[in-house]
Amino acid sequence: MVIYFVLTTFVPLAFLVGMSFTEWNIISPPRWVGLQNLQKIFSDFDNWFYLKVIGRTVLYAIAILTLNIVGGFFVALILNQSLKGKGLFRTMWYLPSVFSGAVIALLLRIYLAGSSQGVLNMVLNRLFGIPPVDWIYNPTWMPVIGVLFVVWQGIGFTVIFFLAGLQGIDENLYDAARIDGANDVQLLRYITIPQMIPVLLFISVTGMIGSMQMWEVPRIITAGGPNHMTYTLVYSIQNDAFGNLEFGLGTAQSLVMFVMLLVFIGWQLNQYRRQYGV
Amino acid sequence: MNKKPISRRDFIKGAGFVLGSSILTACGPGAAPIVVKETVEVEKVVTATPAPTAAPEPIVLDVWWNSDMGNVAYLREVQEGWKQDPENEYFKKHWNWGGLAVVKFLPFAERHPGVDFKITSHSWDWDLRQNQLMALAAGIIPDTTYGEAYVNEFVQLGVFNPVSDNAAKQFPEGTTRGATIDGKVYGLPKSSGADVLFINLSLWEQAGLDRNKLPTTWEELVTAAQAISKINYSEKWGNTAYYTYGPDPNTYGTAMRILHWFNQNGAPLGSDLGVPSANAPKAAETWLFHNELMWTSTESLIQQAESEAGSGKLFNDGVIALKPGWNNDATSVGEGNIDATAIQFPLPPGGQPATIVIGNDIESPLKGGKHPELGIALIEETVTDPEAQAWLADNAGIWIPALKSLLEQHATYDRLGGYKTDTAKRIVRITMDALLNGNAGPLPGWPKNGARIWAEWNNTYLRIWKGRLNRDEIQKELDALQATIESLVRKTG
Repeated sequence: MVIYFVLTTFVPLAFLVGMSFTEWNIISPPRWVGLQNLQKIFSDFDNWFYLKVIGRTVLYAIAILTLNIVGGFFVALILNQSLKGKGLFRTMWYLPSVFSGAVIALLLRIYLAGSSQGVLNMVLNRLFGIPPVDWIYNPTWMPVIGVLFVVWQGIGFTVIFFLAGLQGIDENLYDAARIDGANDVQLLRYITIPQMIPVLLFISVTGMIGSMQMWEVPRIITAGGPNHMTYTLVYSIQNDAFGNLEFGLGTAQSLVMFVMLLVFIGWQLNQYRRQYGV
Repeated sequence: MNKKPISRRDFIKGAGFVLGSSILTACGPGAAPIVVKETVEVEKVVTATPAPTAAPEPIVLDVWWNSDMGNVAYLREVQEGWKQDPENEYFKKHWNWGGLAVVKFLPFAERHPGVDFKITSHSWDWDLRQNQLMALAAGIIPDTTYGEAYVNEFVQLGVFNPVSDNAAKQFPEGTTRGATIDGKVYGLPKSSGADVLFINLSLWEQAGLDRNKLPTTWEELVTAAQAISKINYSEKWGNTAYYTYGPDPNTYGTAMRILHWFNQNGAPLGSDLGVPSANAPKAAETWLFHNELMWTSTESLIQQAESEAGSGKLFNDGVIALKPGWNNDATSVGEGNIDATAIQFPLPPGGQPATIVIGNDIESPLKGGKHPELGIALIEETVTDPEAQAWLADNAGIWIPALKSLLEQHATYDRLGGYKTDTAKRIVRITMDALLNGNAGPLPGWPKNGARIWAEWNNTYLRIWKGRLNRDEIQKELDALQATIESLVRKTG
């Protein structure tokens, strides 16, 4: 087991770190360049391009994670009630997580077509008389659509975990609180949410890792546009490595992402330990 | 006595020892054999007989091509069975590539007995590029390959062998420039195409213009477009006249329909090897001219005409009067069989003729293949074969021959069966003339960051067009674009 873990985790990691310090176009042998790739990422190259990519990706990740957690928790609360057909609703909420993101992005690209024949434009025009909008090239709407796309894909996963957490809360806690006169909001605030902290920790860690990897929208719909508004870190890694044959630069960006996530996860775990003494 | 439990460390050590021993045992030499010496006397009468000879193994050329065509035996099967009929099983499997493969590869096999093929398809565009890269990285290198986009990138990576000057000279220089470095040509085009200006003559006359006085200068073109726009109104599209692709950061296709104006005006976007010149002295004035043309139509039309097929229909319906197009556009325009023609692009004051090659499918021999010399021979013999060059235009349409000896016949060239209508054929002959005599050339060959550079160029186009920028604003945009492209093509280290 340890050997397997070493071979599948630490060896690739060591390879990634090593490659970050090289210039390699996959055809000729790699050439050692030291910290050059990392310097490029943190320099003013192309008007601080890479730092803007990192900042933009972090903002997207925060927005996606927040919407996923708040929205997922809210939906889980509803699905935890005695509803008719709740099995069907639970399945419907989880279904987007099962679909291939690339296929959905391809369909979305067609729906968002800027012509009057674009599905979204046709619907808006017929229902509300709104003239066609060039969604994909709109620097305000396209980032919003990108975030909503990722949230739509991932919220089912969040709902399932929150639901499992809610169903694991001891009913006696609620009974005791009601006897003491607690209302619904107080039950939520003083019992439900504190009991859900371990689940929240898990979702925020896994959710952050997933949210930082927004890729389908820039790769399949926008090519990172308009005006780089959807140019994310994973898209940049793919572009530099496979588009520009700069595998060293691509892996250096992967290394930066890895360190950022490590710091975030470490901070989360530390906060949890401090608060709950675990 | 209590047994001492095995610790995790001891377990790992033991497992590693067992695993290592097993591997060494498996890899090591067998036990030394016991030698027994024995002398045996044998009396034999030996007569000379000829040693039996096995048939020599055929040389199999690994050919990457547009369709999976297998080997010579399969090509002969296709030769018997292929018909240009949507219900034909070989046509369904190979489309027109099946027919071309027979004409192209079988004669080579007949001239080179003992040579067989393994002809396989590896998609197109981005996927083909990725497949080629992975094959090169893995060392599984074919003898020849194909491509349009990214050919220049592979030429600059140095993975191709050059073809002979004699072979290269048989093609217009513009069709091989994308595969040329330091005077050596690294591939030959099996098909090609060129942009020209399509004109709807009915609309032209409705605007009070003389059909015998088609525009020869930019000023005449703008004046005509504005005159047509004034009289050409529809409720759905507004006033329209000129159409070309709007900005699209996902593709360089837009650039193929616009950059000829810049090449004409001595303001190319970049050189064949990707030295950028986005803010060349006459670039801003070219963008201003382009905006004047674009704004003879509405934003709605530009965004919704949907490239070749869609704009072809709108051209036939009289919504679009003027549009850059290549031979493939002639098919959609020709279907309408309307009163239309095409001309080579009008010129700016002091400008030079120029157009962009499109559909220029280049085949190249690779250095690392098993049979490099034979790979070169395959390219040189099959791509310069007039029958193979003529085949696609005569059967599939879409492309035109790239061979000079065929292009020179443009005025009367009649092997254009793939284009169906007389209107389409007339326009295609004009594209043949443009390819031969119109100073056709490829897009700039960016050594790296090609996708990003085209995305940046498209973004600049978007701002210049939609913002209807003035000269100073355009110049500012172009200076920023130049700086961006320079940083993107700059080699590190």
